[in-house]
Amino acid sequence: MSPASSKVAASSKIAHLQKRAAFLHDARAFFHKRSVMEVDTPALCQFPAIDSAIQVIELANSSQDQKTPSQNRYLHTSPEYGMKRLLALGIGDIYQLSHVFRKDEIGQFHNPEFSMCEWYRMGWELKPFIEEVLEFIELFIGKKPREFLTYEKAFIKYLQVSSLESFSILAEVANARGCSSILSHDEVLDFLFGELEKELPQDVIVVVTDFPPSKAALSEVCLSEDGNWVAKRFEIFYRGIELANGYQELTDPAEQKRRLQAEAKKYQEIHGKDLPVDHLFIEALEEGVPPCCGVACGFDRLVMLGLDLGDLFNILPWSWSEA
Amino acid sequence: MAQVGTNEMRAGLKIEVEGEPYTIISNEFVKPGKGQAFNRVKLKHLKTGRVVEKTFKSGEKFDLADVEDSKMRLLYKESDGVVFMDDTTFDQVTISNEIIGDKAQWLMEEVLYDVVFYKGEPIEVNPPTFMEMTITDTAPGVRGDTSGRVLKAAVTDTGAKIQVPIFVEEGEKIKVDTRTGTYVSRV
Repeated sequence: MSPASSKVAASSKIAHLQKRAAFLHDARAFFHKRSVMEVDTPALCQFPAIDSAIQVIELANSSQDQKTPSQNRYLHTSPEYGMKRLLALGIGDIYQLSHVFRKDEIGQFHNPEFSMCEWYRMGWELKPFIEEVLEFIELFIGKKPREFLTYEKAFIKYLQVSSLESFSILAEVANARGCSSILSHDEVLDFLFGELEKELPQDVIVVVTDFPPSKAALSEVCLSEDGNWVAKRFEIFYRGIELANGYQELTDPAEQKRRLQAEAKKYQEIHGKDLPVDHLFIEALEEGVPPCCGVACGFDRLVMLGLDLGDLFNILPWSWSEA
Repeated sequence: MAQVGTNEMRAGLKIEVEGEPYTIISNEFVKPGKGQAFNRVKLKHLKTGRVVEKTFKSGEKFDLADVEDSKMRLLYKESDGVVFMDDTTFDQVTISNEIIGDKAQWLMEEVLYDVVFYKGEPIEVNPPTFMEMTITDTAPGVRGDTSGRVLKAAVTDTGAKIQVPIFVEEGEKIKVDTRTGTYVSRV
């Protein structure tokens, strides 16, 4: 890069980082105003969050650790477990704004180390909670029209196929849309959801609710009005980019343990690694976490969209290849 | 054949998908709804030139296409093809007019061309970026406008039809950009 153009690039980056700092300030003010307290649970933990679709970065434990001489530690992929353990102590409404780490996720809108804003509201119902998340998002992108759809309705509207169709029909649709890999039923739904994201309107905030139970993750599953089991999970999109992933949180320790063990098995099958189930997290659920809603927002993406930019480069002080 | 994973796919890399050779144009990493990650890859078929977009499961592996580039000298034209020779090995190959396609307008004896081979068979012939050729047919030169912006039709000795400035005469030698088929300068 020529000296002249690198000077322009530097001042552009600085301008973006100044705006990023302002957004960080606004985010904290948002929670302060609502009496949601900031916490900073650790990033390097004995137990990883287990999700077969999210690869965990593993590091050797400190050789000086005599209390927990476990072999390895894991960089958190979200502050969820640490925060829920605090919820079990009765801490009340909390938020965390921190870096999280996901191996091998690099792209226009993915940096393996990125900033997440996650928070929990005790005793809140899902609908008003979604409203609060939308208000948070609008801090960055301004007031926008909203569209609310269930997962199934979104499939019908934007893909013209029901998400409840047979696997063979869904696979056919996927093939017609350029999917060239052999996929399982769950993976076909993921692929089609990606195609759906491409079709979303550009200047509307889209909220998708009522996910299939197989995609419940850490959310409660219940019967919907039309008699189908759905996960009380929501995702929020703007310009086809996912900005938030939230739940009516699962608080039943037995069900949570079962799900973690199932995910650990899947993780082993896909990545060939055995991940230990976080017994401290399960014990906290056994102590009792009150009913609550929670959400994780991609802070970097919110800044990117807030500045009307097309990728994460330059709103991160140093992106992955420069860090 | 060496393999490459979806996450290593960069523009310019040549891979085989379902037995067909492609060159990668772009690669986008996507992760819909927290599930399986995918790579949306734009590919250009090496033989037909057709561009397609395919989505693969992230991490899937593909064979690198057995593609090689060779600089070869055009020896002479025959009725059904053109004979090229490798200066170092003295290997000769006849490439059909069909494969040469519209590059035929840039064929000139003794010039070095970039020949692309797939699995040992020639599939593409590329001329040097700039070539010098003689105007064989054009309207008489007009004096006056020396800016070079006013153009007229001309044909060169290789059979290329290009636009040249109006002051250029028949029999003159000019430099041409073969990528765009445009006049660059007089020689």
